[in-house]
Amino acid sequence: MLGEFEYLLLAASARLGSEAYGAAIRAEIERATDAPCSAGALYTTLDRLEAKGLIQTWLGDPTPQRGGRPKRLVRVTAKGTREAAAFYRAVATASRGVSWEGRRRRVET
Amino acid sequence: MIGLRWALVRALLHGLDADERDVVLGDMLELETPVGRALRDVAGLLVRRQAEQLLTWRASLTLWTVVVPLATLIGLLSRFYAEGSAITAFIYVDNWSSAVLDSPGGRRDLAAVVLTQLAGVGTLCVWSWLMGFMIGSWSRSTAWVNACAFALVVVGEFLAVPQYHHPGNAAAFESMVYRVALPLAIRACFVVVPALWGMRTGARRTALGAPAALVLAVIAAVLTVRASRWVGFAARGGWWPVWSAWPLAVQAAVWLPLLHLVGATVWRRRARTIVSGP
Repeated sequence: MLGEFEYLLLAASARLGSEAYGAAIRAEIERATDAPCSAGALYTTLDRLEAKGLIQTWLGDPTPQRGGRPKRLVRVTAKGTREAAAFYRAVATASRGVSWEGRRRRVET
Repeated sequence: MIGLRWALVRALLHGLDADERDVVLGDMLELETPVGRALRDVAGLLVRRQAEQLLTWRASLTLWTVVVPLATLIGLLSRFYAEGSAITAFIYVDNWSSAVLDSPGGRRDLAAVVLTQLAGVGTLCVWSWLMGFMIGSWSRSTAWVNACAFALVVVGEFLAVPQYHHPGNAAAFESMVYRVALPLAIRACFVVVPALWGMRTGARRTALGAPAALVLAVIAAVLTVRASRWVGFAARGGWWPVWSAWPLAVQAAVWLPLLHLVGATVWRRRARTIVSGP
């Protein structure tokens, strides 16, 4: 079973498609969670997912806007897609019938 | 201030492997990351990478069987050296008299004391550099962890272990300068700094060129033989465990980094000969 950060990373990579690389994934996760995403968490999780065979990464060509430095590009593998789908199903099933927004409003009032 | 923080970011980036360094720096440039966040990011990534490396058997083995024991050893030797220096400094600085320079015998004694102190400082520096070089070349991927651990043990040994001074030297050690400042300064300047320099060199190149290694080995051997008497005194004094073979073990331990230097140089020459052929 994936961890939630691993899922976020897979989801961001899948959404970005061919434009999935470190900085873009990081920006995507920060936009989705409204919380900072550290480079340490990002790159160590990418390594872990790659070791599990859930993603593939490779170095792209250097670009001028990055000071001539390459991107670490990411592609979600078929196994990664299956694992992410399973995680999403589990969260959706566990959340069925639960209205977090309704509960939050009740608790706050 | 910002320039200093960016310099620190760049220094920390050197702890990452070359590909990851480029990727992380590229990300920071692209996202225009503020320096404070860049510092946190790189430090966090470096800590995680070093922690991952520490889980490997080689890095753990080096940390616990080489870094910590050698740092403890050099800390104890520097403690003994600092005590001697404090007493000498008390005699000559706090009780200075121009009469010392007036008599030929006084001048000779002063010259001998200065030379002895310089040789002691040189010995500490050479031992520390060689220890650092050995540590750096054995475990390059955990250079940062090893450097921090070495510095912490050297300084921590001084702070954690109560000092014992012979009652006859009480006058010298009443002063904070001789009791605290001088030993800490000796550890920082003549142990930690040369050791970190040695680690940096060792992490970049596992062996020195033959001429440099030979010169260093001869200097280190002469200084170590010369210092064997005070190593023996240091091994018998202080908080050292009471164990009959202990002084011998300490004497052997100060030779270990020197033997590593010679061994690594010989090994590299042999490997080159095999690769290039007769």
